[in-house]
Amino acid sequence: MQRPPLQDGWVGTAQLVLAIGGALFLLLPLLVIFPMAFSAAEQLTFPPPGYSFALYRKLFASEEWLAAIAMSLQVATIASIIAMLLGVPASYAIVRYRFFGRRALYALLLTPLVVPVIIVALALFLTFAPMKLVGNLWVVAVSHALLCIPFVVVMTISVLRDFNMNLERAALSLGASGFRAFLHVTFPGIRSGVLLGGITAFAVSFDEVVLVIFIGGRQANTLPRQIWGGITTQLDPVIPAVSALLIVAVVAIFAAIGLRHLSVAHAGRRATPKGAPA
Amino acid sequence: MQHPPQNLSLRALGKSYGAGSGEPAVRDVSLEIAKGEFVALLGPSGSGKTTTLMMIAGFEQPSSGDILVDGRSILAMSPSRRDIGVVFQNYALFPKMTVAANIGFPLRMRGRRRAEIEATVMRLLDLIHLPGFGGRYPNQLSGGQQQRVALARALAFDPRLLLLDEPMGALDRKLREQLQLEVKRIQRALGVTTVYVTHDQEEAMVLADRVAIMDRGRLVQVGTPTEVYNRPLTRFVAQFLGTANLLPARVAGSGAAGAAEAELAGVRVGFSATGPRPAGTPIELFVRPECVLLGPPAAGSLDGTVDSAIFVGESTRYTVRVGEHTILATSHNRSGAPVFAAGDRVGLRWSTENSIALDPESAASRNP
Repeated sequence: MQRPPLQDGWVGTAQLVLAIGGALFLLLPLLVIFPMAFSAAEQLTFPPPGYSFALYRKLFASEEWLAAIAMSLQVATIASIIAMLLGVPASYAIVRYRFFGRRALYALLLTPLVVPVIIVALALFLTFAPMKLVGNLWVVAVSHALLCIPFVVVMTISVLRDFNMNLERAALSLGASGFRAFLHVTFPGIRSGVLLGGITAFAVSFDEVVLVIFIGGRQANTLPRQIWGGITTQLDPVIPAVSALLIVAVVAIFAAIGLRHLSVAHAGRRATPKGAPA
Repeated sequence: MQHPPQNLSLRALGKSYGAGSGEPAVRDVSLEIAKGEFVALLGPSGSGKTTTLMMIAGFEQPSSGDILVDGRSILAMSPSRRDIGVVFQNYALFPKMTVAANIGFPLRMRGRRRAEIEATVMRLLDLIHLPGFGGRYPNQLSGGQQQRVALARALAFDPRLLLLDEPMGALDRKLREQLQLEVKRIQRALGVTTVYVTHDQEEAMVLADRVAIMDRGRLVQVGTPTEVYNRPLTRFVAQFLGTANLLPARVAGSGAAGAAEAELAGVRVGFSATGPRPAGTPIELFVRPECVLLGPPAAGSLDGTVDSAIFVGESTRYTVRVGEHTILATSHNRSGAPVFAAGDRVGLRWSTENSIALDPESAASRNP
């Protein structure tokens, strides 16, 4: 793809300065986390009086924090799997078939993106509280799945739209059942988008705090809720340590995806021979 | 299970996409295709030819009519059960599978043994002249190579029928001509009943035993390439298959057996009568430009003035004004052939068997 170069002169310079300045303004607060994470102090103070791994030792010794991490991993895994199990087939139906209510279904699946989370949280609380389901890990996971589905749907639909439907038809004409055509041909073709949707879903659930405050009860104490509790009640100095860990994990995951995409694109370009005999 | 060649019949096939979606895509298409025959479905875009093909393959459900293979309806069968090989536009090779895996796919889906699959793949790679290409991926092949792999894949399971949907649309002319001969050779060698969709009349005539011409969802004429080219039934067919002179005239009287005469610009010209038409009936005289002979004005010739003479290498294209008519004539440039220039007076004639009468179409007709 040909991209035009950055504009010359002061307009281009101003754009560059604004872009970098904006990025720094947004990112610098995140960077504050890192010195704090390795602080030697027992309280949250900036700048730290000295540096050590004390907070990490404390973090990994704390059953409460480890339990919260484990809880979050469980909830996010279940939520993203549910979101994919529901979102991928729904996206497939929306893209492939014409049926009554197709647009309505699409809009419905995306509503969690537009409805304020606090409203969703309240509604879920009012639903589950009388059923004595507040604090149930599965209820939290299913509720998270609700928030995750739009991400899975949007990404799956976008890869499905790019997918050549004739490939699937070819598979059918060659004797594959609908399921095998999907398994052998369609899914490999849309896998990257579906996986990206799944990872985003995982991140959305892992990071979610509002729903958990409402319906997490005392048992479903996820990591974001533990952080929230830690910062509001006791200013737990372990929080920056956890946060730094999370930032590194997230950056690592998305960098891995990005690198893989780049290498695939390169491989594709290299594989196209020039002047191959017809 | 080896399939012997099978015949295909389309019976009053129709497809409309529900109320409010305009004219039906396919209307009342009936066609009998014999075992091992190669039929080209020819028509402009939107004529319903691809829809017809997709109904045979099972990807579209007809709104009316029936499709029979070897006498049995296949409408209730899912596409995966029909055993019909399809070559799609832009080939539709599976990008994440090697060439060998692509060709072997239909056999894998049928649960054949690995050794058998490998042997079949090898045989087909030889047939399409791509031995040793099994380990490559589709994006490592040229367009022509991908097209041949798609053909091999569609043939790997000895399909009952072979359907091709504009398979050469993306290729340049030279490669296309080369591949047309190859497709024809392979089809002959295997004897598989074949339906080939194209909008290229030359491709249809090169490949097919019979050409079926579609226009606005209807089948307008079916016949051998020579029949449809020389004896078009409608103005549309006459013009779609090549350049045609369609000259408004009136029947003047019938002559010898099968021959009749028409009056054109005050001159009586002969044509082959295809049906009884009383004297005075308005008709359109059809004659191909290459059948119009030019010479100096003579008794009984249509005399006129050369409007333009365009040299195009193997032939020269003349436009001649005769009264209110403009007649196109193409003359081959062999040595000794008379040459005329714009402004020259010429006499035109054609033999009776090269001209037929068509009914003038109403104002609703359209030119392709």
